[in-house]
Amino acid sequence: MRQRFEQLVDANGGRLLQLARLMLRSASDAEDIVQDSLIKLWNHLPELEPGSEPAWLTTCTRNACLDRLRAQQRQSGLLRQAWTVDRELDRHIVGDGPAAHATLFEERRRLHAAIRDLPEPGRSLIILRDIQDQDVATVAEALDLTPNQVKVYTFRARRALRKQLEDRRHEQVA
Amino acid sequence: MNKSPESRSNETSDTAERTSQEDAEFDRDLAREERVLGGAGLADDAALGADRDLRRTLAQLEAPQLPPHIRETVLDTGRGSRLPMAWAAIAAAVVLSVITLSVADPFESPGRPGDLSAQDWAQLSLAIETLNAQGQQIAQVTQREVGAHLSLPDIELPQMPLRIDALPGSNSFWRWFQPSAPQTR
Repeated sequence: MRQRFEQLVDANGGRLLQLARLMLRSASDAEDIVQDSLIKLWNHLPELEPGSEPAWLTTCTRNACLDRLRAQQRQSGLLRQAWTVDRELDRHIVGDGPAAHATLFEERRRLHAAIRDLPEPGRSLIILRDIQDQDVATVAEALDLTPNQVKVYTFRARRALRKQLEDRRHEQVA
Repeated sequence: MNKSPESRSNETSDTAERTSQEDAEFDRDLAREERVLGGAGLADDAALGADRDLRRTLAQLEAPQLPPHIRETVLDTGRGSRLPMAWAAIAAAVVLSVITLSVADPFESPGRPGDLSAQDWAQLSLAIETLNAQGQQIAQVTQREVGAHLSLPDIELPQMPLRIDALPGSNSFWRWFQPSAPQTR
């Protein structure tokens, strides 16, 4: 059981952290949530069917992120997120690289910001399907959707994301 | 104001029309997504081509590594959390054995069987029965709650209830008291 747990931690830890970081602004909140989700996995492992753990972990992490977002909204409103926290996330996304990476840094920052602004379930679908390339069945199970809903909502979320990126680019040019 | 059956009928027909329109959009978007996922034959549709390009860009975002301190914390929790449950089961069994032995030890009380009154015998019997029942209950609960999670190879929890019946003190106890039972009754 312990060996299975270690394998699951190693196979899923990184992608869960990516999911949490793309949903939340604070990198430390994301790490806390991933740590909690993995500890919960250990506690629930005897009950879980082998093979169902990735979807279970995704659901657990996503729900915790949504709870955290709701709590943050209640406290201060999404529009009043601290700039320093945003910087902290950016540092985690790209790393403290040299100035030559400034363009890439800025593009990714814009992309991450646009993903975070997508409404649910579009945001989760973009992360799970397009960024992490998880199969339709696993995502459908994790988000409690049908496979066709996963495909259609992903398509619509991608369209919304593309429009958002284009609008921001136009604003910048203007 | 109450709505007339006609307005309700119009509403139903509106809803049906809307649902049908939504279904049509759903099917259309499903077909488009299939094309984007397929990736071929998108040259004639610039929007779908842009969708595919965005999907490719997104796929290039690599997942970060789980920081070592989080990995260690999680694995340490995994290592530690089962052990106390196993020890709790062992501790419960030991406590039960000690209680049973201390009550059932024939060398503890120097009195003779014949000295017991009927009331003493009844009280003692009740105490022993209660202890036995509670002990078995504790063992069953412990087995149910802990047994499924136990990975220690040397512990044979399924046999715990039987072991309680086979405790050394209980045999001596009954052998010591039973001959006198009919007399006192």
